[in-house]
Amino acid sequence: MYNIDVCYKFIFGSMFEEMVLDDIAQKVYEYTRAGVFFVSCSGEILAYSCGKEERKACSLKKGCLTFEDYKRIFDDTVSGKNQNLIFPVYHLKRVLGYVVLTHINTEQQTFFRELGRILVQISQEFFEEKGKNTFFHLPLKEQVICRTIFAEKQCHKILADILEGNYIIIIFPKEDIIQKIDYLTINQAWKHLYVYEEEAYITAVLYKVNDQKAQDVYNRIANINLSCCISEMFGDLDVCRAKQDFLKHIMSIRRQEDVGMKREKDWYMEGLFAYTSPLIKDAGLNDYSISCLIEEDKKNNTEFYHTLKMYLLCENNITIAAKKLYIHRNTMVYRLKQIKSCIGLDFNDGDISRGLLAFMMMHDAAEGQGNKQ
Amino acid sequence: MKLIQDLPEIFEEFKEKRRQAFLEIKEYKDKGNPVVGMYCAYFPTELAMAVGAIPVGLCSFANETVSAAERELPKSMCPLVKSSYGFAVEDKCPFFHFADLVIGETTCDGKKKMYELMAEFKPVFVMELPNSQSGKGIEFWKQEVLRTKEFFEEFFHVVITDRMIREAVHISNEIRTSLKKLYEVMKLNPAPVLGGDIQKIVTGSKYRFDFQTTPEVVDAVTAKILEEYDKGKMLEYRPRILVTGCPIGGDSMKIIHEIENNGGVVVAVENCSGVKTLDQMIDEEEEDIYGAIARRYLSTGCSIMTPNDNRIELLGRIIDEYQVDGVVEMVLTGCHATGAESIYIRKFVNKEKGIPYIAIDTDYSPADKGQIATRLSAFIEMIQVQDDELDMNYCYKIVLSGLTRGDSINHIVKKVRDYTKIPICIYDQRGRKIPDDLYINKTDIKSERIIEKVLEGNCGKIVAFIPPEKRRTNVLEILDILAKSYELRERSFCVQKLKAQQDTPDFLWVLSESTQALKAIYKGASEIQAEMPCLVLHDDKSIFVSCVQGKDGREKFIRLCEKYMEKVEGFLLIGNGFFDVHNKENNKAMQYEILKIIKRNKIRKKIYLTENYYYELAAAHISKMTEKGIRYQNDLECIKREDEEKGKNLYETLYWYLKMKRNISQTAASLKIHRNTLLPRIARINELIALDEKDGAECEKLFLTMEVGLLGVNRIL
Repeated sequence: MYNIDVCYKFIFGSMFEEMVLDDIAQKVYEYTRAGVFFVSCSGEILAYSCGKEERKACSLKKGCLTFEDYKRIFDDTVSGKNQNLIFPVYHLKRVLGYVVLTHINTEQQTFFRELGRILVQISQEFFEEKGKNTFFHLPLKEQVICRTIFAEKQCHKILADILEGNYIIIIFPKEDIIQKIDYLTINQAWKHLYVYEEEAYITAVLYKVNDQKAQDVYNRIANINLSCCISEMFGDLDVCRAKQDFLKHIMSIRRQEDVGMKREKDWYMEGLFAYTSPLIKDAGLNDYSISCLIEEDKKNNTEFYHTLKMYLLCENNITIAAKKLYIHRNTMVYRLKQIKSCIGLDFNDGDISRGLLAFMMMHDAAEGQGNKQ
Repeated sequence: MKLIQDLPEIFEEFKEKRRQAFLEIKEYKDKGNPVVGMYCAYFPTELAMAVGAIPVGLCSFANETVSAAERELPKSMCPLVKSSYGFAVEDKCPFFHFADLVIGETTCDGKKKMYELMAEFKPVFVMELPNSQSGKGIEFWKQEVLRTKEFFEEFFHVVITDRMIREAVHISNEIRTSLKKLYEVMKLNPAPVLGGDIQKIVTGSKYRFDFQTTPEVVDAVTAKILEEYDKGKMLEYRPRILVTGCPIGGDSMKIIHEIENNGGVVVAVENCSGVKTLDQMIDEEEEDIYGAIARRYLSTGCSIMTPNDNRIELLGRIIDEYQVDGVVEMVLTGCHATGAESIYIRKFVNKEKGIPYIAIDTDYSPADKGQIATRLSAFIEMIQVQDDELDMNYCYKIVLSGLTRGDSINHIVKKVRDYTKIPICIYDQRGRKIPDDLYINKTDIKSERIIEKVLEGNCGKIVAFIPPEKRRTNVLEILDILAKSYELRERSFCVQKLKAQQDTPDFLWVLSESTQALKAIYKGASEIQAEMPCLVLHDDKSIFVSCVQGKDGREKFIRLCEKYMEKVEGFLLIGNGFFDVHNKENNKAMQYEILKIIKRNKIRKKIYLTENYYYELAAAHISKMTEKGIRYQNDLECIKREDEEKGKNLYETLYWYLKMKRNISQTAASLKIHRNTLLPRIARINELIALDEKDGAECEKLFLTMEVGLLGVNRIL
């Protein structure tokens, strides 16, 4: 027979420990031999104590709830398939987290329920602290699904039934607090989505997208007028993680003229070159000729750098480049002449032009990452 | 030949050589070797050696036989003559006893008469020595040499061929050379050994009758002395004395002993028993070998010559080269020539060389040993007193304090100069005088009282004028201290400058797989120095370059590398210039990535530059950092499918078409196909992906995706 007063006593004692929840979990397990888990609303396991077998669970190694463990613990508990008790921790009608007791002695249900209530009260403050920077207070299941999508290498097998293809990912930078990123707002654009919140970004995974609907999605997201980065449609859930990383790299390139939505295919090159920023920033990759050109622009308020870049992007076609720059062909010719005398390189040579363009792309990506809107 | 014994044992062995030779000479006689006795340095021993005879110096330095000689010769005669004659009449000299012939020269009057008397009981051949070293004198002496040669041929029944005389000349030159080198160890300051010990070797070697091996034996002793000197075995600082005058040996060695017993060291013996007979060699290349012999022997600066300029010249040279502090002249009682000449010697040594001089009038008797000791001790003390006015330790203190305080070298030299009253200055490598207020008048400059020391690394010289009252050795020591302090200051400045340079941008890396190539560049840049960046060679086949002066500086450096790589195998990768030294290691890692890219292709060039690999570097980096799934591959997928299904080469065609910026001719050339083969392929590609409708940026996107994908495959493979 377990005595609740005993629990009060050791719980009180644990309040003076450095790792309060860990100590409480440990003492509860030692007294009752039931597993104790404190799980945040994002699926993170704040503290736990359990038997040897349970300790082998993947979730405990990763420090957050996996989808399989979620189903095993939460879904099976709800359906009565196991002897677990789940206690949501609320604050102002919001769920902050859960206290989970596993392998309880069913004859002592009353005791364990009482114990659960005590643990909820004690842990509330800790869950509040954990969730204080959270934008969205989404269901745990959704968070677990999203974490699985972005943490697991092969999530397609696990989640394909729940998230039917095709997919589009959108990321929003959290620091742009001037924009009010509302779940409902995104939901208006597309109703089949999961939202995943991280420290610096919010990622929305849109599923059940098809070719016809995709453009509609883009239009709607564009109309929301939020600063975000959106991927092209894709069919393999396993690619989500890589896509998210890519979009984050695109997002990291900030230029003053950039507002609103950045579409993956439009920012594809910049996104790839964003991966080369360490070469510029950490390895000091530098080109004297391009530096001369930048200096010239600064000194004389010219646009030679931009002109050269556009020329190279247009496959060294003067007419097309002039058109894109909204200047006359003759102006283009004049500028190219000035550029040539400044940098002293034959940028009409195939290898040289490609190399120069590559350097300029790397340079711009690194510069963009150094800017803040 | 390496000597096993210690030096003191070696010296004693040589000292005993003369005694051992007494027995050896009999053995040679028994073997049938004739013996020719000699008294004077003017006799060309080569003539005796050429006939197979052994030339040996006859006893003439002992007091014990003087009284015997005085029964017949006047008491006032020089002890050398009396001792020589005494040994002869008493038959106390074994060499005289076994000599088949005695050679004499018409040197001084005493000797001339002695030879006349000696001829009564021993075959004596007298060579007529001219009293002048003029052209006429040389010619006369040559005739005498020839006459002696003819006499020897007749006396010994041997024809002296040209080969025989030249062989003899060669051996005697070798012996002289080895003995001269031995003497020259005394040029070291402080001296390695006592002069008396050197004299033992020189004297002892004259009694080695196995002439062929003498040079090797003497050279081994010289090497041993130098070896021990390098290990720190040397005498303490002593006044360095030159002994000159009448021949020294036997009982007259008391002069050398008293000098060295009273704190001095005899660094050179200018007498006939010393350096005088070793200074000149016979010119073996001379066609007229007897003329060469005559010239060499007549050049001996004996006081019987008039004028005796050769002696003055030799004395001056020895004083300078051996850093002599004082001169002691031994004048044998009754030697009028040497006694009279000592007036000139005193003048020369005091006035021109500015060092003290003393003449000791003595004979072979030990009676005046005490007196000689007193006089020489006072003489040496006098030399030391001049030095004692100068506290060398204080000089060290001045210099060390100056260095640690960070005083300028100008200031340090001035302080030393003020204390020592020795005019000193440093000339830096640009010829500037430090300090610049030193003035030396022209007469002093001409007088050989100026000494210079070139500074390490040819970064200038230090110059001092030796005042008459100052010891030369002290001045040299002060020069040495100041030179070292200047070099120390310069080195420290260079180290600081180098450290500062290593932190001064721009920086770049040079990589290679060939250590030889890197060393060539490093050496080449170091030799040029001026306006060159600073290079540091690393063990991992890289050079870190700093102080690169922007684009022009890098181009200059590249040209230098091209020049040095012409003759060296291998290749170099020259990195970009970067500005932040914190990027150093990451930049190096990036250069290694480029090196991998270069090595994937065939190495054709000697110099590779980073800027030629921006694209490949970016593609490689992107390939490494990204996963396949993000790459925009829709268009490429359908091209690949077409290739798989229909066995076409559209993917490769597309790659080159995009690489050549959609230039048909260049693409065909790259693929090594005809234009007409290419056009249908392009048409099909357009059908699949509408390539011609895409703008340049789209094409670059496609090409980058293909390039990155290719690198990803290569990495997996």
